[in-house]
Amino acid sequence: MSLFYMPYGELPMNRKNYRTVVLLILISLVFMVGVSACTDGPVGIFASIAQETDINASRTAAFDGTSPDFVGRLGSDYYTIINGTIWKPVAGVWKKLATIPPGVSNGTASSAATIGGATPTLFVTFGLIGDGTQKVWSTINGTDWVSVDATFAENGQIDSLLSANDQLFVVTRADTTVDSATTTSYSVYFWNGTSFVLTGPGGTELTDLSGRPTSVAFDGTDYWLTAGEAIYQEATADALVAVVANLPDDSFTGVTTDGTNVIFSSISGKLYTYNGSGAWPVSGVFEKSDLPHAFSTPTVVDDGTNTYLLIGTNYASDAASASGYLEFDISTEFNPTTASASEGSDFADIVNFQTSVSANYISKFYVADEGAGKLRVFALTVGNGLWSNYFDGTSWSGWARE
Amino acid sequence: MRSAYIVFILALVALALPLAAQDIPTPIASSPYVAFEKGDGILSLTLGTKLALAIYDPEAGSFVSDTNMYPGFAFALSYVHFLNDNWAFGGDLAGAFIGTLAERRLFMAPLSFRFVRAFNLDPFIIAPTAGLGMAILSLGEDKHIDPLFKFGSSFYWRATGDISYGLNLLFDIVPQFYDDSAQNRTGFFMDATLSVAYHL
Repeated sequence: MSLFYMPYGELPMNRKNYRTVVLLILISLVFMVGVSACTDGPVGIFASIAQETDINASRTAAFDGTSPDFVGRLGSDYYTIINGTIWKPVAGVWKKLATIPPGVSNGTASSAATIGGATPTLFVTFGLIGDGTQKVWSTINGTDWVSVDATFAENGQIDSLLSANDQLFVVTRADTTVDSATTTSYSVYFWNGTSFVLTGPGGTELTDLSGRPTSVAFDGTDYWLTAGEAIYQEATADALVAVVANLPDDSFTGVTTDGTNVIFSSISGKLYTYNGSGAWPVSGVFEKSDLPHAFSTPTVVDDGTNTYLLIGTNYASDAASASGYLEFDISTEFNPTTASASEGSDFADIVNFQTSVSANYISKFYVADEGAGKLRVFALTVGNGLWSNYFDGTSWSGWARE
Repeated sequence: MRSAYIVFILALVALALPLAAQDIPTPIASSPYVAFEKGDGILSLTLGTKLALAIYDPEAGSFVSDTNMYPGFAFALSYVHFLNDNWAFGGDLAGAFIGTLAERRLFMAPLSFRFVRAFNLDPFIIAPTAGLGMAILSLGEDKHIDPLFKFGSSFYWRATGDISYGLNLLFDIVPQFYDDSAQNRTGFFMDATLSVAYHL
């Protein structure tokens, strides 16, 4: 007998029971229908899972739980610095770099930058054997190293390397402790091809800055550099001057440009653009659980069809918890005043974001143009290794661990 | 003569009573054994595995090639109430954690009302069931509540008058509907679980 076929003569339930059962069925149906369509998200849960890819197919176990400091490309090779060690793929597998400069300690690489031009070069800072003093070395092939010896008169300890438009900058620092309170001052040097010189006009060089320089970008005309609450700008890399006109009261964490817009991120979860006439359109505060996102340096990705703006959510005390990155399709324009936090809704496909990096802090992105319309985007996470997403000219692979 | 007649009648009655007692049994002796009766209940705790069998894409009109879901951990607290000797109605408070290929974790809470038909094969009971409900799903920050259709069967061994142990094979069908119909999918799951059931 069918489960629901009950001839009158075989009726197994009395009338009262029937009423109860029918009532329960109705309640469950109403409840079922009532709640089924009320919580739409940007992505279907089953649809999202069905599109997942194996994020560990190329995983490097040594990268697990790490916070990469750098990724760059020299020639056709990628380099990354993780826990002070330089890695480079050999036959598709990341290996520790076989040759490091003489006189430096293993595991002391702390920062790097690449420049292109006639002779693409990778610059790396290593700690010397003995006192550990950081020095700059360069290589054009990952094997032969040249010491870029320099003494930095101002705030003389190397902090980091930055580059934009094939120009190299060195940020130096000095820590001063008074009554157990430590303050740090920074200077910015520019590599003129021969030596490092302080950037900035005579008398107003970028020395003793209170904010740490974190990012530099070139918009086709001007260089832009963010350093805490200050922004510096100039058409030549060795003459950056402070932007003071109507500068918003915020702490800037990075700058990027799509060639038209100059876009700034801040530690307070805001995005700014500079319109060239002294105005600074600003977004609202991007936040989570009433805490602002501490943005990392914004990054522009142009895959030939669309242009995307990516902003990682970085770690900071009193900031929102990890949320991967925000993404905006800025193919037509980017207006921070109307930007909304449509996380991961466009980039590659929604699954890439949702499946992999949405629960991570991202300290920075690196975009490499591999030619023939192919791109590779790296995400440097805080504590969850190095991830990449490959564009083959048609579609994105999805985020996966390196 | 009259008294002899009476004695004869009484003797016949006396002889006939035991026979009558056998031919016309009392109600207790005549009732067939039933495992359940109206008002009985079964409260069961269930643990086991939840398997994603398939995902159907209604727009493509086909099943996706891989569910990308690993076998998960399933649990449930269920109660069914007998409406008569054979039919019961009840529900489940259930949950499952399912890992995915990309190291995400799908949490699924299928809550259902269902009918149960109990077939008594003492000491075993076969209890096919079917019902409706909702499935609360959570994947990262995405959450959704969907309709749920459940069917399958439980196989109980009644160890004592109060306790049974069961094997359950239950199937969940969970259609997901979104404003963007391209996101619509239907998930098919199977629970293979073991239960301990207390007869109330």
